[in-house]
Amino acid sequence: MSIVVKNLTHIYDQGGPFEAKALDGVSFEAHEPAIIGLMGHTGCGKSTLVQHLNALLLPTAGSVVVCGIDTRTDKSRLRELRHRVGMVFQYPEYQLFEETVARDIAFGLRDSGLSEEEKKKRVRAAMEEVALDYDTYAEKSPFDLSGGQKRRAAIAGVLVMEPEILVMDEPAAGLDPRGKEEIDDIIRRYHEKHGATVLIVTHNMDEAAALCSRILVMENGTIAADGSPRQVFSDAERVKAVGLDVPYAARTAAALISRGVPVRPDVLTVEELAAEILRIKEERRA
Amino acid sequence: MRSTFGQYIPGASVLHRMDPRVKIVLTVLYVVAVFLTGSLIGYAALTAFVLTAIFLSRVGFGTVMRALKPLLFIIIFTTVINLFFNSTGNTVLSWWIIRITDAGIINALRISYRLTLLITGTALLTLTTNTVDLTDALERLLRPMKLIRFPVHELAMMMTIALRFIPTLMEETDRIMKAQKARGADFETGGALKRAKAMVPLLIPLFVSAFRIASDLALAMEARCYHGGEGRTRMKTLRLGRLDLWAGMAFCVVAAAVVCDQCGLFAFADNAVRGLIFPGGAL
Ligand SMILES: Nc1ncnc2c1ncn2[C@@H]1O[C@H](COP(=O)(O)OP(=O)(O)OP(=O)(O)O)[C@@H](O)[C@H]1O
Ligand SMILES: [Mg+2]
Repeated sequence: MSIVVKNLTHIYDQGGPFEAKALDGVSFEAHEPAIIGLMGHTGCGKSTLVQHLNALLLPTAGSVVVCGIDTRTDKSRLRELRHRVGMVFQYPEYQLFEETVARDIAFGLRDSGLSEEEKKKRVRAAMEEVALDYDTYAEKSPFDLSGGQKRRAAIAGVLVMEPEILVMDEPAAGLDPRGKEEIDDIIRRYHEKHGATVLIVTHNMDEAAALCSRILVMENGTIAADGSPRQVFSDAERVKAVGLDVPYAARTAAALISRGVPVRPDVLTVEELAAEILRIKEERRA
Repeated sequence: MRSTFGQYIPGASVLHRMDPRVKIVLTVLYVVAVFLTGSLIGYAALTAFVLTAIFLSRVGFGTVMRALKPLLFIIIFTTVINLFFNSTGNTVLSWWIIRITDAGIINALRISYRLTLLITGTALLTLTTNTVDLTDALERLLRPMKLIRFPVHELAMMMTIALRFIPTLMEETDRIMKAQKARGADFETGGALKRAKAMVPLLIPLFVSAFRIASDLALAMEARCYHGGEGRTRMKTLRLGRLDLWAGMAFCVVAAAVVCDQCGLFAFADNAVRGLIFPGGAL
């Protein structure tokens, strides 16, 4: 389980009238299981980058080696790669097609050589992971589910393959706060249970700060910052320069500091901020 | 590299700025001229016309040439047919059952060149005119048909919508295909039956998307009070300008050359050139 991206450049429609350089010399590595956030302004190349990880796109220059498979040279192992790297696209609910939810989820297993019993078990487990009740929904048509349920069914269709690396492109786009939290829970659960690396594309600073142990920030097809959320968000000016912002709690902390309340400047989550405020309150009382 | 046939390449060249109605009319006349002419002078005039247009369009020579790609097979096919299956004229080369005659060569060259002129000329229309302008112009040009109760506006609207959503559906296809590939779908290998079956996970979501997009669009149009063509005014009214006059005049010169040529006015020049290529030829 490792990702090694070296000097990756990707040019769409090379030589054509709509030539566009989407990635320009991107390099990063990930070896230990972690939840990694990929952030950046619209059009900076996030979706392009993640599609290289399971060879849906191939490098124009540079190399991508995932789980020891070089996407450019190991053509015969691409199927294996696509099972080891699960990819959840933006609005995955639009890929549902089967007659029942269970059959749709099992789509990724059809050439796996597993027995029917085995497959059923996996589907049940995947549905459990996304908090869809098997007995209620397995035999329903996927088109009869609500939007949020469809989204979770589609995610289950990827989790069912038990990928070592899970890539999610804005999995929470268009969901309500509760739906977003549920997606975060799915990610955390999957990461812990399977020791998987999860790469998640998100525009939500608060989500990234609370969920990820590492954040990659992209700007115009390059990596602009790479580090822990605390490192990345410590430089508010720089974060703003690439079209992002710091988490809500960090902004509140900055506002408190400017009004003379000595909270720690590097808080990231609302919980940390609350603890800081309580600490100061205690100190003042003492 | 993808073909550019039927694609629109944004720009601000004189060709882009011309009235789309004039462009359509000139393209139609140009096609007629290409079919009418059969002589070198005519081809030379049309070549000069289309080369000037390509130059003025600023989309690049290579881009226009790439429009030929999907039709290359047809061009080669007709050329070969004409080359080998022509029994008139003097034999130039004979081998086994194949007999190539000078008339065959001339015919093959003529057909392939005619197709090339045809495709580059018409490709130029779509390369420099966006689909909205194109259908708008078509609606105007076909307006007289309303007299015989032909639904011109409705047809133009349907065309606009269809053309507008081709790229959207292509994107959607690409997206769904990638998503299913990520789940291990395989669209490329296997026999015809296996491949047809592999299309199901692609086609169903695509149809669902198409219907969703269509119903969203219908709702959006109704919300903006669309009620058909009756009493509808336009944001962009088409107006003939000086550019269109110039283009029309340029084409008149070319057309005059083609017509004069067809009437045999340039026969001496034509014969002279042919004489140079095939001394003593029967043509
Ligand atoms: N199929 C394509 N053909 C040509 N250019 C493309 C294509 N897909 C993306 N691009 C271009 O590549 C660049 C990067 O696009 P990408 O989709 O990777 O951005 P993104 O970071 O995912 O943006 P968003 O946050 O909006 O999803 C953009 O400038 C885009 O216009
Ligand atoms: Mg994206």
